[in-house]
Amino acid sequence: MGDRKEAIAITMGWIGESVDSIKSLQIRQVLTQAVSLGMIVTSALIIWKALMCITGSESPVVVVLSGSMEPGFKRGDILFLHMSKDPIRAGEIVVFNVDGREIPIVHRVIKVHEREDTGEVDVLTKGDNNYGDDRLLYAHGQLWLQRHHIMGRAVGFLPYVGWVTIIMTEKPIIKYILIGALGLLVITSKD
Amino acid sequence: MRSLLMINYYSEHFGIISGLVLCHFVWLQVFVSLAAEYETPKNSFNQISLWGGILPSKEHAKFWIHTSNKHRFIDQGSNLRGKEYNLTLHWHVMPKTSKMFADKIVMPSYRLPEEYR
Repeated sequence: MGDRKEAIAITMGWIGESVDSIKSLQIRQVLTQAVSLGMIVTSALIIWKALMCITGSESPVVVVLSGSMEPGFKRGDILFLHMSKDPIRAGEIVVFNVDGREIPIVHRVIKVHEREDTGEVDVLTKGDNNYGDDRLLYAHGQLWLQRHHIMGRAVGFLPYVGWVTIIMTEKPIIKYILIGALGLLVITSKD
Repeated sequence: MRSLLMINYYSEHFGIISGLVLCHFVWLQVFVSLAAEYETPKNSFNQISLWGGILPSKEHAKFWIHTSNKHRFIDQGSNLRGKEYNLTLHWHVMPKTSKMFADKIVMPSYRLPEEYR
């Protein structure tokens, strides 16, 4: 009877230790992974916000979605933007928002009318590859862009890099697969 | 940067002949545009792009073109009769590996006619 009791006690102790060990390990791993994931997301946000501050534009990087500015810019190129107080002049490539549309448009300035007293400016734009000016794209009844419509001007670009964004937007399944794969990668990494 | 510029203005047809050479630059593209700039009582600065084009490579840098203006020379008001204006040739260089930059040449003292045909 003594031996039996002793054996049972030893077994229970072993099981208990194993369970504790497993619990501890799992909790620590999960926490580490959660922190790593948070760090990645936070870093991305910080970089984006820093870019916004440096460039003075709400949208420091945009992807070209249509062929309206060919042959200079094609679908899939990305443009780097900068916003400053410098006057807007013909020939510059500006990014502007149209009331009622959520996607900004990147086109070239072809006309500028500027008042001295108020500093107000009327701007007309056109896509290089388009036949006519952009009045058809503006809000109904709007003939000119003003400064508050303009989010920045293009100061540089990289070809092809934006295709990732376009593909993910047009084929959501690819986006989820990609995010899932990245998630798995993060979770299964041993660091 | 070396540039050679020649512009003649034909009032009969509002045609434009331009020659432009850009050398000593490696670029991906240069956008060249010709704009009219003038002043009116309402607006202290007015700028209308009359013609523009993209030069895709250095070999296209020297060109000759005789064309009517691509964008209409229309003011917001009724201020163009007899108006004196400058023609400016702008170029915007979009290099592949660095920031875009721009420059221009001003050719002053053109004048629009008092009467329309």
